[in-house]
Amino acid sequence: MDQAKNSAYVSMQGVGHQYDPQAPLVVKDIDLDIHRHEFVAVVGPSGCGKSTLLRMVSGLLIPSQGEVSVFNRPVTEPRDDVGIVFQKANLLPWLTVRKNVLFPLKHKYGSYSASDEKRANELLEMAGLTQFADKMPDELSGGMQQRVGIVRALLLNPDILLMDEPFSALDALTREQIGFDLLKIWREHPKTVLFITHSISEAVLLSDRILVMSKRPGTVLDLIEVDLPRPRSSKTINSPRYAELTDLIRGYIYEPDVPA
Amino acid sequence: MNQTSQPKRWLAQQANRFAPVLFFIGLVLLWELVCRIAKVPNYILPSPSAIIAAFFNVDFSRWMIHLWATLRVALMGFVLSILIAIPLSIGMMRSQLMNRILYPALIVIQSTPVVAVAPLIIVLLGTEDPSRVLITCLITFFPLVVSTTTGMLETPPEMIELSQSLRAPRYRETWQIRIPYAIPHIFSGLRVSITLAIIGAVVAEFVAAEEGLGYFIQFSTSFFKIPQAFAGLIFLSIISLLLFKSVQWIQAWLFPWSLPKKRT
Repeated sequence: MDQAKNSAYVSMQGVGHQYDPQAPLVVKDIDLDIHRHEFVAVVGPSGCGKSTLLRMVSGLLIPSQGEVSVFNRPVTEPRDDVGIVFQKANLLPWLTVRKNVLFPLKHKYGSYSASDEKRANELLEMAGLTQFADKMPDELSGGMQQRVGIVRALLLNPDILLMDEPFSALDALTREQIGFDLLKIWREHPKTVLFITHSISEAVLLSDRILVMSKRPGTVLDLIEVDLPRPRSSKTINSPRYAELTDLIRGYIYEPDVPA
Repeated sequence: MNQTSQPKRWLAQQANRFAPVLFFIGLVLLWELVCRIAKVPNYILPSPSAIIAAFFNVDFSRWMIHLWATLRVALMGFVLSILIAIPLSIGMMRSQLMNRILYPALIVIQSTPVVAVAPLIIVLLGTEDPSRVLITCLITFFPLVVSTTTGMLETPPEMIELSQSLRAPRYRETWQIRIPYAIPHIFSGLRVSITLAIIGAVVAEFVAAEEGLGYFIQFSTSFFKIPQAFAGLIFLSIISLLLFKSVQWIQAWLFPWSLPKKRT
């Protein structure tokens, strides 16, 4: 293994956060090192501060305890090398699909060039959206809208892709398909991915490692290595190791609620 | 589908489609009938036929003069209130301090009955257009401020986060995200305001005017030309309705995406 892959790229040390000084901590004592181009999923019960964690990596939120750093530099403001995909696609309903993809450039710099447009077209093609480029978002299905959301996050070619429960609004079948599509994109354009999800099976199917968080205040319960071979497909679900891993995580999430 | 039921179905569909119009026609017929049977005198409640006759008794050019006077004031007041309300809302959205200072002032202005203030405004600004436009503006601008502010605040928080994560300048957050998101709200405010603009112009004409449809109605009433007053009133309502519709047409033309989606 090469050096870059082993060193921590995104690093959280003793990270905790409270939204105001009187409020209780949302997350506490989080230590996590993410390697470059690693796919890390975060699972945990609702309200455990998964999204807070993601916002701290993006620089939208500065932790009240500890430090988040990227490439050995502390994160103090929103970063240019971060792309965010939200729970809902959040496309602007007055722009075509292509213009939505180009929106980050238009919004940050006020304009974009012909080569930017070419890049947008290439990304759309990769996501199988070429024929929808000139359609309005409401003409697309939920799954396709979220694909556009992912493509938009890739426009500025970020090194880190932050995904906040990106598929939770989709139906089960679409969800599985778009998950494999994401893996394909990730293989072709390697990124460091932090993937927040409610779905244990989704986490196991997609990621290299899984951070399991406790109830609020969210702490690290376990960091699980997903040693399933890649590339993964719907066949992965049939392997015994997949079942073991999902059972292990399910144990963490559900055990405390089961009466003795 | 068997063939005999086809025409029946068609008839039922048409009746359903034109139900509002049919209801309206029925109401007018009932009105006419009541007036004729009960022999209601014209100076108490004129029949629809008497009103129509009164409408055509007045010269078309006279109608146009009065219409133009009212429309001019209503539209100038309306445009002025758009020019005030939208920048004001943007300012209040972006600055907490401005919001804290202006919001109570706006409530005070809105709580003051403009009809009662109208004579004072005439004393202050004279009997010409400026005072009438100001009266119209005072009536119309509050719904616009409320709807614009509401719309801008209802922008999905993730879009604002996207803007922040890009470290885009704030004016672009306002222009490229918040204002477009507010468009449906702004237009519902505009629909309310355009009808209020006619009311504002009429109130102003009641206080001081030599022309305008409001003035015409008041003048006709004071000479007991009740059918003529009714004709003026109905003309005014139709104009108001057309303005309301125009706002909808403008929205559909400029911002088709902002219309509520038809679900099939």
